[in-house]
Amino acid sequence: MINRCRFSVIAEAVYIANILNFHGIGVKRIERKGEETVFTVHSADAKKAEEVLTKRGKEYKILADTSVRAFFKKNVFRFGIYTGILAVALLMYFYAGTLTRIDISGNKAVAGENICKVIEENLEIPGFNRDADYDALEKKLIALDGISGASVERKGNTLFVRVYEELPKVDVEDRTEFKDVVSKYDTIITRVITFSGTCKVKVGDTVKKGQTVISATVTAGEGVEAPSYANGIAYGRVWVTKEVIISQVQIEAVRTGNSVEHVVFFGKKDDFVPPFSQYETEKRECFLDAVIPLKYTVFTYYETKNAEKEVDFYANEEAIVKEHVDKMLSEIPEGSKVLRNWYDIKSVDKNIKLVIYYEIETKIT
Amino acid sequence: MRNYYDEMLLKLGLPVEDAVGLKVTVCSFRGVFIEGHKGLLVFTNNEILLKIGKEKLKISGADLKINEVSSDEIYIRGDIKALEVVHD
Repeated sequence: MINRCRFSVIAEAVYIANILNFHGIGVKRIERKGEETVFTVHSADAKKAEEVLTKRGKEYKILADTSVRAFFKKNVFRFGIYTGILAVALLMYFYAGTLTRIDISGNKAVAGENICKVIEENLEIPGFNRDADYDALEKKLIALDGISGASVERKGNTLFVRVYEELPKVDVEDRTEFKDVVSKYDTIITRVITFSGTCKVKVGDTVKKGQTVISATVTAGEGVEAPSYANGIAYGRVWVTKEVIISQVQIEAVRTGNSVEHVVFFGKKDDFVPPFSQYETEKRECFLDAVIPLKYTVFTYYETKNAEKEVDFYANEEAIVKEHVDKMLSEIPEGSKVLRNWYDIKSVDKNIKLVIYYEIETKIT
Repeated sequence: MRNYYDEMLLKLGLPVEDAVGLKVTVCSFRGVFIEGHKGLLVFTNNEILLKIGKEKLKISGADLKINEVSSDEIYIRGDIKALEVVHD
């Protein structure tokens, strides 16, 4: 039992019990062992018990003292114990301040990666984030497209992020304005669907940009036209062209061989600037221990200098053309159907002129 | 000022000055908790004698041990065989 002191006194048990009780000292587990009486008192009463026994001239021995004070007095030179206690306290302090997990909920339309990106820009996870500003993080999350509200709460080592998404925007059609439906491109009509109004073109017609496809009038009789609301969809073939000038001489950054390393603990950003005028950075994240994920980051700065490099276009023609073709493909309107594409290469001075053509069927209204 | 116990004695018609204010709780005859004793008189393995007012309370049994004792409460454990009030 803790905080108890066990005495052994050469006296009658009855005498000891009565004399200690008289002085307000509670006695436990009294046992008679021949001429000795063994008993236990609370550690807080131990000193008083000693005084009473001394005053009565009774010889006593303390058999055991399980008080906290006696423990430390006994182990005053046990530095290992104190070091261990200190190490555990520090471990608990750091581990309690460490964030290791993110739990995101409430997002259906907004991608979790976007939310994680905002969180990781403000907090190191896993990392030591004892005094993080969660209010500022909430404001940054609300600034994301599609999010109307956010709450960030920390419980233990987990960051709970709950987002509230905006309601989807509703397209409101204004039917009070009588406006023609016009073409956005120079095109050849492939399909027209008229919901209301009068269609002015047919499949195969050539239409210029801005030309009326569906007019906001209806014919009520011979020569009689009444205003109406024009609504419909039209599709047509559109040609999209892109020209790219590719130089045969490129400037690229080349490493000189000099480098400098800098280590950052717990994601704390500092003002370190490498001693190079031009450099590139390599970042490597490491963990001190697998049990406690204390993160440190090693930044390696490599000095670079610009160097001219001759590029043989024709040796890498396929890859270069594919790169530009794919880029152009990503720029065409969404929902379009690619009918065909081709490209043309011309040498102009020391450069290469690459012209890419796309024929697409797309919505023109 | 009279306490609840004194009030009870008055209603029963018992003299207050002789009242002992004793409460004995026996736990399956393996332990007995006594509140209101006035001191320990005898303590042996087979007998424990307590002072209660003008009388004495005798607890007889085997392997008797005092688990805890204070100025007015005592907890005794062991094989309790009898409790008896001894008049002087």
